[in-house]
Amino acid sequence: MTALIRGGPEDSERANVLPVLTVRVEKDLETLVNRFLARKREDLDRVRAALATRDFETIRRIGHDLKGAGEGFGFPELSAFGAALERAAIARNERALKEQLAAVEQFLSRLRVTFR
Amino acid sequence: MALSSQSVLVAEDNEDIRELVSHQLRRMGVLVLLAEDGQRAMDVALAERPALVLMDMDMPVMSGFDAVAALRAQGYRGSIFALTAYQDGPEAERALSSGCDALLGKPITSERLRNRVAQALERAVQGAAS
Repeated sequence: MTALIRGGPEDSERANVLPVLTVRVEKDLETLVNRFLARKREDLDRVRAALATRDFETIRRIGHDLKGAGEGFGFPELSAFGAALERAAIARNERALKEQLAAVEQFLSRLRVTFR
Repeated sequence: MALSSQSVLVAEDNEDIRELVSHQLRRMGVLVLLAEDGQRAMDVALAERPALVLMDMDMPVMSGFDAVAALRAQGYRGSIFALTAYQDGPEAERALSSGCDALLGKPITSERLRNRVAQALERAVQGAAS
């Protein structure tokens, strides 16, 4: 929906830094996308807290919502992560949940969104 | 009561999707009504009579399934599209048997949303004219 150009990994200045993933989005959607990504970063904290108390239903719900929204905002990777989180929560698979949580964190840390 | 042929109700508890869909609809020039749960969706749809309802089926207070069934029972005749991740299977069948006209699968892309909504609103205009 939003990504006009999805850039490939850029050169990193240091070899041990994961490459940046650049996504270009319509300027018109800047406020919406920034708010969406801020909420997703907050969701990571909620998943961490829910994992600590084995609250799988909260994680399932967060995963389900991410699955439904990610691609619409131009981030199909987030929809895929959401689906994986939802599946792992239903299976009550803590190891898979931790792996998915780390994967989402890594994706968001690599993501650079430009608007035009 | 006549349907409002250029208004669409977005009934969705996921704030991200609600914001994105309503933004895209406003860009189409559509008057957007919002609801965060099934009960509110039913109240707004009966009061405002939008031409189209986009109904998430998995919502708090009252599910989309129950809201759609209640709307149909109370005579709402506009189009209702189920917003659901399920394109087939029991959930999809339940949505259609509750009274939805069609499914609009998540994730929702802007092109698909625009096409489906434009078609539904065009039908509403034609229906009002005939």
